[in-house]
Amino acid sequence: MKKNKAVAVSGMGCLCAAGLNVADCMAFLFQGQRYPAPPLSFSGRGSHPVFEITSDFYVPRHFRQKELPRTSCLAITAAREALADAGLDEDYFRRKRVGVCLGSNVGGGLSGTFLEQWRIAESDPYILPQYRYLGGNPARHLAAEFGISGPVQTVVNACSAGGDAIGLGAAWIRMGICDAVIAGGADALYEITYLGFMSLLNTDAKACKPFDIRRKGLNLGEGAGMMLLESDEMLAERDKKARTYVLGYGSAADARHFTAPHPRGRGLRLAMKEAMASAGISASDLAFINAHGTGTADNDRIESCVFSEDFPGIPFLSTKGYTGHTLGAAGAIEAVFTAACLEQGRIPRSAGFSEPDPELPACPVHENREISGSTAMSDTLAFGGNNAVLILGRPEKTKGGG
Amino acid sequence: MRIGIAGIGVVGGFGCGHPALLRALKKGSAETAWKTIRTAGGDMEVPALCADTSALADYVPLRTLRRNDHYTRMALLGSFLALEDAKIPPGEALHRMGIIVATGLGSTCNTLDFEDIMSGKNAVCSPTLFSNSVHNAAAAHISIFLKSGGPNLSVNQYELSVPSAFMTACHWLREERTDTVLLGGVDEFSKVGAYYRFNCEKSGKSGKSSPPVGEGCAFFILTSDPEKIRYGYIEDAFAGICPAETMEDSGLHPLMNGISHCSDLWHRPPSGVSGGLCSTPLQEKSGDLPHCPVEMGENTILMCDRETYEKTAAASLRIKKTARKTDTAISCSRLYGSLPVAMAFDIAAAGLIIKEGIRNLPADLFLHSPGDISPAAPVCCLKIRENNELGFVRLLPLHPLFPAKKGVKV
Amino acid sequence: MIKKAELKQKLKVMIVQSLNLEEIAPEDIQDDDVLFGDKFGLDSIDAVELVFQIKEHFGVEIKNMNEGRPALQSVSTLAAFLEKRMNP
Repeated sequence: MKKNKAVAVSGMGCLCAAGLNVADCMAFLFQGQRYPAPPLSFSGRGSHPVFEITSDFYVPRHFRQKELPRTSCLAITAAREALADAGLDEDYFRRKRVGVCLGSNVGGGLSGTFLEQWRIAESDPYILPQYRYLGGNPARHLAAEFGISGPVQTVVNACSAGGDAIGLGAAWIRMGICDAVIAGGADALYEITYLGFMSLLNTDAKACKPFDIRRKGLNLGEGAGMMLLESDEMLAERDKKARTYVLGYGSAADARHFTAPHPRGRGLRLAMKEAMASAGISASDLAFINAHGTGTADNDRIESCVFSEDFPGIPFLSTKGYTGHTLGAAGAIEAVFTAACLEQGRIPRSAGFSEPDPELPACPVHENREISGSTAMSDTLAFGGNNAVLILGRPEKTKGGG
Repeated sequence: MRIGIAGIGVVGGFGCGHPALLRALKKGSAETAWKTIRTAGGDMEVPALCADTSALADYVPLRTLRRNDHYTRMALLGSFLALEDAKIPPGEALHRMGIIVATGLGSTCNTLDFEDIMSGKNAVCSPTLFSNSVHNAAAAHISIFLKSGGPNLSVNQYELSVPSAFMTACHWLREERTDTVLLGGVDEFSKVGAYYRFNCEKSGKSGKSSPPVGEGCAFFILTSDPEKIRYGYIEDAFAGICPAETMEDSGLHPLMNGISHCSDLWHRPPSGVSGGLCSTPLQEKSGDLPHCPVEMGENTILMCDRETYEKTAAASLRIKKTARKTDTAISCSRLYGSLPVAMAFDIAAAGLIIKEGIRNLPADLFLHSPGDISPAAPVCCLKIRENNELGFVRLLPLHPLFPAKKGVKV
Repeated sequence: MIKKAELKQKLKVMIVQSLNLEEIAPEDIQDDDVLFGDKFGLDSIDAVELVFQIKEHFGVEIKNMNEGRPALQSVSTLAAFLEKRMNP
């Protein structure tokens, strides 16, 4: 495994239950609040709390956009923020070779709306869903929103999709096939996933408690996280600076069990090794780790073991306690949080954690704290044994500058 | 670096394994079956090209498959066949093999059945069914059965899933993330699709000639090891959106004069930009193919469905004011039916044409008047959708004109 | 009220069918066989599937695995658990 060139991130956007933009989310995280509640969008289906976005966040720009699935609306909203953050003029942007690489759990087709249509259309039960499904690709909707031309990919690696999409999109810049890539993840909360996770007995009936001894499972959430990846040439042409960099990416499969993570975190370690090698850094270079930390018994135990053995003394946290598990968006939202924390030089306390579990060899940070260093790691573990790891921050040579 | 196909594993309405696909290719047809689908308006019989996975018992004990549905069984069988064809024993040197699964419908068929359960009185659903409904189910099960801990990717973008997967496989190999990628396209018979088609045909929206709904998978072993490449080189792969001006007005139209030119033209950099809009950087390509004749596109074989062909023909007519005549255009969809990952089967057929040196095919497979196939012809598998969206995978034959060069690096 | 032998038979059929145990017949399962051992090759997802099936077949809800684990030891423990829950 060889070291890869760092890829510049010139803009970021994100929305979830913690806030409707990056700045609001960050402020919310450091205030240490959270308000999980039973789902509103499909009320009556269960009492386990979720982290839902309850305010209106989406403004359609064209008449037809009113019909977009919620996942696409989330993706577009976060991408608009990332582009504005990068200071991009949309006409200029359209003339460039711009790719879209988006991670999502199931795409937009199987949303709540879809289910409603399915039930209503009793006389002709298959037509509407098919129509929905064909039009339901959120990556395609993103490309249409900005009128871009270039490669488009929809990554459906379950809960690691958002992290994978950023890592895969960065390769498009390195290989010179794109000037810019809108990369990230999006997922709306929907009923099938909610009931499915409940049937797997891994949702918490109260607010989730990642890494805590009383942890009972995850809470689902929804949202989107987007990064605008940009080539050095395009940045120079616009006379702009990178906000942060994608320094490394690694992914690996556990190749062991469909729903349970590998007991010793085999795939997670392989993915971390690849990410560190491609970033050309070692464990001691990391300022902190943004853990997957869902709040399920197995996930948190394995992550804690891997951190304590391979990254001793590196502070880590889970932001799932503020956002819930946003599935395909999680890797991307957490990548945005990781980069923003590095900028602010501090990390929030790991919400939900108060009492250490003696079975876990390492515990997350229990209060907001300052950090020093210019690189950090964000990891995600997915259904099916997928693991994706991103290293974000500033390359050594531009430390303090650029 | 040259990337090519070392092994092929296919399962579909034509049978199991690439010898079955080759037989169907030579015959020009496959046996259509009938399938019953349940609808609110009563049961209906629809034509279908279905896949049989019973051969999976030759590779793994049946009891280990108890949690695998038809969708993942097809993918597993395709993977085993491709590995066997590439002479890679399962379990050997696979720990960092990359796996990419492209699917247009994913486990949607499952998910929909599972909705039937949901719309009943139950407030919960079967955890096994739920876990199999995630879109990366096939890729995950393959990694588990092969114990392959390499990078693992699932892509789902309807008819562009397959070229999108090839695009990323090429990146992985070029960046040396891995030296082997197991890549496959898989889709299950979609009752939704069959019903939709039935209604479209009833209302006259689509021609009666279009093939029945199909299912199956086509898997490939992609490698950068020149010794192992047997079914042609992957010259280029792309899935995404073509610039509107390229599609509509300018002389850079990829559909204008031989689809084969499209990637060449995309390599021509727009003003002020280095490189092109394609998945391979310009420098590398020109360095790689010094002997490549400029008119390479003249005898290109185009493999696509009728819809795509009609779009290319219409574009050609509009821009050049003459109908296209020179290229060979083939559609094999009658062999495997219509399904979102159709391009995977086209690529398998292209690989077989290249490997077997096939010079002529049954007239039914040609989208125009039949003709001979040039043995040195590149093959372009293409899908054009609405709104400037397209995907293609271009194969180069193993021909003296395009020699495998060892040790050439980016 | 359902007889204990009948209940056990019903459970064995449920296990074989719902977990799709291809090479095992209900008769092959002894009342005291350890379900989650080497004999049947069952694992964590089978456990949650059984929890789901028990709710479907008997209307008895197991809220989490702390409650489920002792009950799911064998057909005998499961039958005893169900009798207690169905006839409190």
